[in-house]
Amino acid sequence: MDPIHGLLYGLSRAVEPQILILAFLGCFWGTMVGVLPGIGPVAGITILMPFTFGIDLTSAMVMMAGIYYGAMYGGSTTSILVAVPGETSSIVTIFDGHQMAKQGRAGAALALSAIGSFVAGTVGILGLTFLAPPLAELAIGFGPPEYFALALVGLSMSSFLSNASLAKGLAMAVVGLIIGTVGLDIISGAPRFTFNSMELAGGLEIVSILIGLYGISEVMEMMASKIRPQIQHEKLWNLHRLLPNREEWRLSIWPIIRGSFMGFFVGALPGAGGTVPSFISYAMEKRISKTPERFGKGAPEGVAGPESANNSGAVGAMVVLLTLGLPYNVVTAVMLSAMIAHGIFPSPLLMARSPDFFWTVVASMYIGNFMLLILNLPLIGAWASLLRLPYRWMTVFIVLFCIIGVYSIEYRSFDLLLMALFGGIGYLMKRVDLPAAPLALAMVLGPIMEKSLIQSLIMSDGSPFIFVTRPFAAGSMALFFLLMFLPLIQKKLGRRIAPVGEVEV
Amino acid sequence: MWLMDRISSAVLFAFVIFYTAAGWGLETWAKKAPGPGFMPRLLALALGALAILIWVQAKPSLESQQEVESYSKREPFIIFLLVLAYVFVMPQLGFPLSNFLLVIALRRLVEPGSWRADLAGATGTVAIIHLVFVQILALQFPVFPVWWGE
Repeated sequence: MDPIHGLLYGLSRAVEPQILILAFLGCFWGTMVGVLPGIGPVAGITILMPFTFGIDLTSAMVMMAGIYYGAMYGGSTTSILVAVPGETSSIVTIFDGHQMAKQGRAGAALALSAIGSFVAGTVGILGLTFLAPPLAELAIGFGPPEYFALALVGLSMSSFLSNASLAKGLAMAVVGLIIGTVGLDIISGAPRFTFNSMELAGGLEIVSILIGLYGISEVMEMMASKIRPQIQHEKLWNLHRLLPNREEWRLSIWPIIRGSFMGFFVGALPGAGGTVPSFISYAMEKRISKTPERFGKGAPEGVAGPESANNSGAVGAMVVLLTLGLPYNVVTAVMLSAMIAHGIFPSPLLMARSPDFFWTVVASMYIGNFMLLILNLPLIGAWASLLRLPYRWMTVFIVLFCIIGVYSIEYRSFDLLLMALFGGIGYLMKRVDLPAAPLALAMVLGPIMEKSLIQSLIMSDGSPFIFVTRPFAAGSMALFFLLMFLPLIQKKLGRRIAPVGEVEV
Repeated sequence: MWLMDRISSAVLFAFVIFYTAAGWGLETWAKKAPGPGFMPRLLALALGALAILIWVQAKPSLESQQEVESYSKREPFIIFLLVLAYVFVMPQLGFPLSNFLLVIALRRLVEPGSWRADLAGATGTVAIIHLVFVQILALQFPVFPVWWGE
């Protein structure tokens, strides 16, 4: 099926009432978790994931994709209004967005963010529509060595881009891989680390661990932090005047276009997702601006560029998931585990074997993008009022949703115990600056990596040189080693690349 | 962060020892193919090396005392204990009653209001949750305490 026919077919499926309703619910919930500080898209999707087991996979994916890019839209609201990022990709929006709000231009900042997100989302989805088929065709030639090398690059990149040191990021990735070794060996079927327990024989339930790491630990973090977002300058917000003025438009058009294209390609890289493109866009806009001194003081391009980049980056991350079956950030890792739970193992053949699934998901993204524009512009006042929601209600509902979500997977108290323990572990990890993202990604990638590694070694009679004799695998391994030795190279050269969150803005 | 890094490193190293000991009997190489113990050995080696690296790289903290003090230790610990207690209590008391107790405890812990408001809030929350998840979505939670049918 060529992209145009595929898309038309997908659109005919995506307008079915059930899919439309779930796309709307996903966008609504996503915007809500994006607006609420503390819970991001990962928690938003993981908490709802068990409930998707009762519906078909296509509808479930449509809803999860809606949550993902809905959170990207919603995350900017808190950044602009109260200087608290709803999720990590909205951190840079604070610098100029909040300054605009303080100057009475909150409405314009939110509109630029929503329109930029819409344009970028559309560019990203067009990219997905037309680039995914050739990419999948290219990937059909990939064997276990290429998959192992790609997964290794994804993991190391995710560790490299985390705010902690590379050693800490990699250590957490290894812990995630270790978690994946519990249960029956995927090749021989021998039990490993099960301690004669029936619960452990099936492996540790990834969803319970993710909900613990991203749901319960977030509640603990919210409780630990005595600082609550304060609603200030509310009288200045001026949410009734949403349209930017002519000068703001003029300054924002090119940043939106640049951010949309750059974000899509950077977002498709391992570990990047929506966060890295937003930082790159800000730095890029500041560098090419004739008046960089305005940045940080309410420059509209400082909102429009990053907000566009993070949205197209989110779609870019979906390309790799849907064509290679490899998750390159935590959100897509969660989506992959949902697909596996539904019995679908994404691969380059997904488009050929399940065109209905693939094209419906892509087409629903177009519709979801429109829904988000409608949800976000006229209703911005309603979303802003969510910031007044008392903390006692937020904690109660997050904890209850986590519990219900985990228990409803298999109705086992053991999964609740796992969630509670990993909630505690996740909180302690935050306190000692150990990143959770590489761990979460590695848990999902672990079985894929182990299977590819063993298959590669069987193919080569145990020789590790198989990873350097095949061009694509060799290129990926070279990138992996470059990433490993980059800190040393930087030290030697006396320069360093700042991790995300530390980029000079 | 220096002390924290050293503690993290020590905990990770202890975990490596436990993991290696637990997987000691697993075969590393079977005939021409890697056995079930191959990946665990590789991972244990990698984590051990990284734990040592974290220990070596530990640097004195830049975090100010004020930043440390802006975090509360008590509340997160209580949340953790509450969720842990729920795990053991829920199968005994059933879903609605344990939810009611959890909601009350959480509301009293986080920005408590009057007892009357908290009791009414908890009752309403439990009723809505029960209606949506048990009645409408038909999730099979234990509704009654275990002694109810005796």
